[in-house]
Amino acid sequence: MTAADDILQDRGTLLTMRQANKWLDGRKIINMADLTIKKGRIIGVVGDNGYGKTVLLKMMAGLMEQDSGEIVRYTKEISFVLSGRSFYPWMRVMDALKYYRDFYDDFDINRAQQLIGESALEPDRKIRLLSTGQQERLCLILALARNSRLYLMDEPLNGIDPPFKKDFKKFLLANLPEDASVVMATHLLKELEYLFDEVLFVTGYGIRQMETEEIREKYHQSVEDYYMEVVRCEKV
Amino acid sequence: MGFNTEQPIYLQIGMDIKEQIVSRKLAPGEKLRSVREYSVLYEVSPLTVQRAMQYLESEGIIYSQKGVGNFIKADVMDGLEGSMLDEQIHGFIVHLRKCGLSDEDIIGRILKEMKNSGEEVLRDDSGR
Repeated sequence: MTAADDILQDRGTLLTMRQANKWLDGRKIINMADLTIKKGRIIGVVGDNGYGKTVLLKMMAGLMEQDSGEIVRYTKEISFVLSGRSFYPWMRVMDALKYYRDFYDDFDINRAQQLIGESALEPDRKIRLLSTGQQERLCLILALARNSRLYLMDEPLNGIDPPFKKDFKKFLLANLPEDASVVMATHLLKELEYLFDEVLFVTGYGIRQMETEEIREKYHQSVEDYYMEVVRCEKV
Repeated sequence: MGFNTEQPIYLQIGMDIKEQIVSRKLAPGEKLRSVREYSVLYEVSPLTVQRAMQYLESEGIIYSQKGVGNFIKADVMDGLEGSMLDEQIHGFIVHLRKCGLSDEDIIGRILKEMKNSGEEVLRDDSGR
């Protein structure tokens, strides 16, 4: 076992960022990010649009590199959940599954087919003709069939009609591998806050990691209210 | 289930399960659903459900059999109704204090309402 495996086993730490900074287009979009992602946690990334939620996720995935500071991953089993727009126009549902099977060693195509069946998705259907909710469901299935330790999601509920948001939550919770963690960027705190164990508040001034239950116990506020009234008004 | 923001979620889930026991929806000795099933049902993270289970275990309501699941204790009813009443009263007092009432105000208003409701006896939904 490597040292990284030890940390994963002993402390259940999947990923850490220490004083990570990132500039884009001359603007400091990630400022001194300090955070720890532990196993078995569902974590929300909350912040106004354009303030770096997507960049943060990409940095966690290794798709973008920090300009300074340190990012350490204690596992390679990290899945970035795609959005519906990620597929070639000719692709059918089954093509996406085969693509994933060919690309990822850890992809369980049988599991994916089982989940496709449960979701009433037709394997022959062109992905671009699916509803947004169905596309997001497909993307979630592709990621979940990889049995990863960490799932990164960028606003997966965007464009989904309200009645199907519930479905998304329930499907995720029903099929998330045990001890897997989820880091999900969202601006829909109202609907998702009870799902999150922790939140990462991303502001122009930096990143704050907090436990949702701590916010409720200490401040007697919903996480949404705390964000709107406290975090957004701070210059910390 | 709608959650309030004044108490931790795991506690509200724990109380909901206690409520189900008191209202006879769950029986002593019965096996609870899995952590995953509760997480889907309540739409909360598995960790929150685990915390609720730990809470129930610490309250002597359930016990855990490794590899099998969580079970309601056979002797659960002893003292459960009493402690739930205490919790309800506690929650009520905290809520009124949050509304800005002093302890004196709270007692005063309770006495006032007692006078107004006179001999009225409140029955719960199950008609017990």
